[in-house]
Amino acid sequence: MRKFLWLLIPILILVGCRNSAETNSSPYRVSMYTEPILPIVGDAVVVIRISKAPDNTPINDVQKIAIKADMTHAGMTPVLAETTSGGEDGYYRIPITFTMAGDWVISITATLADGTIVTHSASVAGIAEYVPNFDAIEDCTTILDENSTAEPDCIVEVTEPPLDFGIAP
Amino acid sequence: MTDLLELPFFKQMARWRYGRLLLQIPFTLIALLLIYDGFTGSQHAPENLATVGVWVHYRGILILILLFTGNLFCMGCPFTIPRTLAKRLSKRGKRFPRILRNKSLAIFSLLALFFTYEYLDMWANPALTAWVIIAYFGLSFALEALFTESAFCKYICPLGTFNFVYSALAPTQIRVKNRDVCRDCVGKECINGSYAPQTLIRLDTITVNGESAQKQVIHSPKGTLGCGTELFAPQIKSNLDCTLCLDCVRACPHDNIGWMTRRFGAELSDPSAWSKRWDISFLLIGLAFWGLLNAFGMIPPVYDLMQSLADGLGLTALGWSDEMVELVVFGIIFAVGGVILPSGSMVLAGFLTKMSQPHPLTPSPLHGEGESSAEKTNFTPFLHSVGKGGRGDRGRIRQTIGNFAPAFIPIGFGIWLAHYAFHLLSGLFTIVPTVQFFLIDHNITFLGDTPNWSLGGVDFAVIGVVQLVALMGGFIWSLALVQHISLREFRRDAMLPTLIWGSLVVLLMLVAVWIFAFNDMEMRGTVLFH
Repeated sequence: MRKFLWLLIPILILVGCRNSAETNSSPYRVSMYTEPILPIVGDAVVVIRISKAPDNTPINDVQKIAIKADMTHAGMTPVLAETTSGGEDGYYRIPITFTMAGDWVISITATLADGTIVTHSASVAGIAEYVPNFDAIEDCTTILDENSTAEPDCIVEVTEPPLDFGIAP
Repeated sequence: MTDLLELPFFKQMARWRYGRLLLQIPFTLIALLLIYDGFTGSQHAPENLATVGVWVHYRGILILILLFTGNLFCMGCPFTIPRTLAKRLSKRGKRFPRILRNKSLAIFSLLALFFTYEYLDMWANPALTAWVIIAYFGLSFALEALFTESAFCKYICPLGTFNFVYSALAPTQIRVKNRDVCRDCVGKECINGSYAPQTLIRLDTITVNGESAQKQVIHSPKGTLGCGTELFAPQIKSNLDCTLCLDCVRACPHDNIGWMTRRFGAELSDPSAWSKRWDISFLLIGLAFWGLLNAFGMIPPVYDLMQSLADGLGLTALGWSDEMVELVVFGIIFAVGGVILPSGSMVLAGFLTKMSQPHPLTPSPLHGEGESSAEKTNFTPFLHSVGKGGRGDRGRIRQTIGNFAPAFIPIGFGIWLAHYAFHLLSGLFTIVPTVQFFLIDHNITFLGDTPNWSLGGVDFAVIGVVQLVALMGGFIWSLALVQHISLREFRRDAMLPTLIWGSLVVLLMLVAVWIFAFNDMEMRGTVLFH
């Protein structure tokens, strides 16, 4: 039995060495949604907002925002995109092409002006082949307010006020 | 026929007591790594070794290895290492229950694995994938501790069952070199083993070509166990149930067993190679249907079907959760596509074949279970009239189905290859950034300090060609087998049986073409009913 206990030591060391095991609280908030809000296979735009707590001050001078869009199925080639242009009221727009129907996860890595790296990921589920998958919106049961610390459980994340496009009602 | 174990290196490895262990150790380390990363790594499937390794690379590489070399995965199977430990710990007193000594549990475990894979989106869940690996280790350990034979490998393991069936296509097989040696062998160590608690020495007199020679046989604590799946080497005619553990090679005191080359799929047209049992026939035919079912779960029409079923059965009106409705609907789809359709099709084809014959005394019932066409006797008409087992029509239909069942192996393989090749080739190089991600997460940067996520796979046009070749190859091979078996069994009356069983093969092919060529794959785990 002792032999087996010895085996646990390298495993525990390995786990402890994982960078992802470290947790830190970031003062920055990142949120995103897609345009169209229910995308289909093909071109879309990922709209990202970056702000700083506690008053959600928009951050417009990031060095770079890189996004990696993966399918939830292992082994599918991710779609990569990035922007280095400045933001407007904390919003950044990155064109992207969804190459296949299904569930996607978008991972955002923002490098701020001072070199701080902020990450965030959100799921975009049920991307359909030709017509928007209107079923997907039904899963968006909880719209989080900006002060919430809970994990969003909606498919299309709307944690920021919607953009004002200046279109009269 | 060339004995691959006579090749340098293979020869030493095959006979060395720890030869298999040398192959198992790296597989075991990989399995442990997958469990570790599955639990502690990113739960985002494309970034985790467990999901990428198991559901993309393992499956794709496995199926190619099965075709070109044989059941090498079972040879290096990591799950048998704790099994060996269990063997030493247990008293190994009991046999596996007689009623379960068939493929029914293996069929159930295969279907259960396919079902949970789809229902729980295993392909997107690293922790669950790790649990599956642990379950394998645990089950093989427990069963080996409880029973004398390798019950897990022979009667339960879903992976092994898949490998057993499709290694029938491989150009290799375990065979004896000289049957005369086996005839004179006293101990039959290939199946009984050469293990003994105390050293025993025996002298065997072996006669080959009229010349006798004495051979000293030693049984000792360092001896080898016999075949765990209870295959008797001189009678092996197919790769079914052979884990390529090479225990028989090591145990044989006369160095009379080899890993021989043969033509691809040689056993498929050998009527004596396959038992004509219901369970085996259902397994061979069912696997082709399950290949379609598995691929069907990845195209958009499955969601329309699920919604229609939920609406049609009034499930959406019951106020159940989406997960519950999905469970019921998936259960129905699997029951119909995985059990009713394959079993119904094979029984119907068997019945129609029987009806198609102008007179009841067709040669088919006598073939199989060790009896070939050449062994027919003057008693044939009498035996035909009662069926071999004396059970009349039922026996004849079972024999007919058993004769044609191996013809479904190539098309089934083609379907699985088309599916798994899609995942393997489309994500061929994704293992590189996933490994980089794992290493960087442990501050190891010799493969770079940033994962190269741009590494993807092969162009989809190329994948399409590979899928087409896989499907067409399997289809043509299966059709040729159907014709061969019909001619062998029914001679001048072969046309209708060829049409009946050929139609089933064509039907499978049409569905496969519809799934792979007329639908885009959709990697979706979210199912929402409305």
